[in-house]
Amino acid sequence: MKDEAAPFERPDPKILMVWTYSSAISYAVFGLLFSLPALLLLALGRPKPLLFVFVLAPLLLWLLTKALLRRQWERWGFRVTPRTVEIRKGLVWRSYRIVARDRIQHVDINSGPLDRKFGLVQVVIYTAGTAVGMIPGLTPERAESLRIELSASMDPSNQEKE
Amino acid sequence: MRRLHPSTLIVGFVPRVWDAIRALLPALAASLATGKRDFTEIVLAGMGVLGGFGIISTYLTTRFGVEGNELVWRSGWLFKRDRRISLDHIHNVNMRQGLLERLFNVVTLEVETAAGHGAELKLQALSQADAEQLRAELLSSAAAAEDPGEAAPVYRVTREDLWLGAITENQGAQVIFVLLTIFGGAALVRGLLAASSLTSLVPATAVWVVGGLLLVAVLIAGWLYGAVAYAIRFGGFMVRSEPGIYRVMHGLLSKMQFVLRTERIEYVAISSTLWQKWIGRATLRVGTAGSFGEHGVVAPLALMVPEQQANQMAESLLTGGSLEELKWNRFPPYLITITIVRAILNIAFFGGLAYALSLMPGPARLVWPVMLLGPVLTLAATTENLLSYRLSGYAVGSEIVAVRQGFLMRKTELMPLNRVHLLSTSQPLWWSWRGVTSLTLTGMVHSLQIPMLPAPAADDLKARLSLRAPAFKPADASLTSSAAV
Repeated sequence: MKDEAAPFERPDPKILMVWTYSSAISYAVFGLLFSLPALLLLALGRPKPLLFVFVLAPLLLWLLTKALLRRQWERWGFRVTPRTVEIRKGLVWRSYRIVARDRIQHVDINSGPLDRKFGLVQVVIYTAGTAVGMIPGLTPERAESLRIELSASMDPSNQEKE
Repeated sequence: MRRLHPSTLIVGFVPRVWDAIRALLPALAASLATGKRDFTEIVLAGMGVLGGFGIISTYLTTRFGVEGNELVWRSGWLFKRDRRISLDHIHNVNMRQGLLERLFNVVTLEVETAAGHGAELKLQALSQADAEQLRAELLSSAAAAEDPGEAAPVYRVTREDLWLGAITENQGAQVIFVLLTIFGGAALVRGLLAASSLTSLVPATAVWVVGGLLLVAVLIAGWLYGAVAYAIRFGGFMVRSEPGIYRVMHGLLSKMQFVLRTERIEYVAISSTLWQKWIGRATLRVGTAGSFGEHGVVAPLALMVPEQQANQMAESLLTGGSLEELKWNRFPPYLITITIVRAILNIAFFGGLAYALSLMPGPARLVWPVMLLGPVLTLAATTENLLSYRLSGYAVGSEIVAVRQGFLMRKTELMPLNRVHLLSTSQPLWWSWRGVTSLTLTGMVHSLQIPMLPAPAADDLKARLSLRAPAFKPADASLTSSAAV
């Protein structure tokens, strides 16, 4: 089997909802922190129109993030080849990671409250105690099958004879 | 599945309170120096202490045990974690007992895997009996002790080389950073403002002369500080060789002794300052994946040796042929553009911050000159990068990857391909229009970055790394997902 023929797999589309909600929470906290000085100055009777930027900017950034989420999801992909695990992501800042399967030490399955709300989990791949890749938006069944497949990489007897 | 001992609530909580107090002290010192009186430090300490209450969740939700051939650990309430470590990979299980743990007769168990750097998993706290039982379950057989063999010194720094290294490794900027760390930026500015008020009493010329002399004094003090610190740190530097091991010892006041296992060397750096380059000397440092008392840091293996000797030592540590046979490639010219643009953005940011702070009422206004350090450091770093462009580059050999950079401090970094765990590329959109990308090779602990190279060269290295890895049989045909694109 040629490694380059293996297709890239995307996270489950429900991850878009997880990302929408998590980005909304992040920008809400960001907006709250930046709006406090504006509200304080307003309360002191010193309106500064420019300071409303600190309130509107997080909202605009979130709307921009939401508009780009689908395209970011389309760029997200991972694939398991006989030799490697490869992860690509990012729309404006593109990253690509390759991990040799014989280096994988263990695989964690994690889930936050938003992940669980939509029935999703994350898989984190470790080599020698360091996390080298995180794959979000997998169903528990797919995550478990991925973990089983990668765990087989930890057994040298599973190597193909070359 | 077992649970942690109830004393976890105290053993885990108290150190976090202590950390919060330690973080509070410098902030308090700065407040006293600037005369600022508010509750910022109390709030920060309170937040640190509140964070310690996470130990309650850890205690209530952590479950661990041995299932089949795996150590299983689960923890977390809001963010759940599930970790499994194969027993075959566990090489060492350490038990640590601090003062608090001794009071409650509990221990912390640290599980290290065969290729790990430090503890892979920490279980705090377990009762002594539980810890002993779990340790016995995890360790199938004791590792045979290594025969140390006869240790022969292979390198010892001479007094002349030590002082030569000391006076050529100038750490002048350290004085400024030490002052900032101890007194804080606000306190320093307050002192400068108090001194500037003297201009009404003395002629302006005298102020400029004294200011210039002070600057020279700071630079000389930094140089002397760097030289003395170097001599104290590396005095008595000696390397002994044992089968598969280098034992390194150095230090006049604090004695450092550590082991470098040659099989764990995953990074080599040959560095020299401009002055050292002129006299043809270099320092060889190696980075290992740490375990069993190894540092897992970049440690010196030879100080102030002739450059050729440093290269030969590096070749002996890495398989991959001669360093002289490496074909060096210059970084793409686009790197110069990016370096200048980053510098402009950096200077604009810190300059804007300084301007905004200068408009603030109250003590915050005093901090604005400190923000100007950002642009100064940026200018220094950018100048160094631009001056070193012609001397810098990367090389991909059959077994090693090398990067060389720097003008005032020149460094050649090497990483063997057989120690690479992860290859990652990072490419902003505007870099993709130019067909370039950055690439990082990561070993167990250390990493080597090529700041910019052509995308096809990165693809070649990806393909080469992939083909080096052994192929595995698929676990099950039904594992193929239907979400493939």
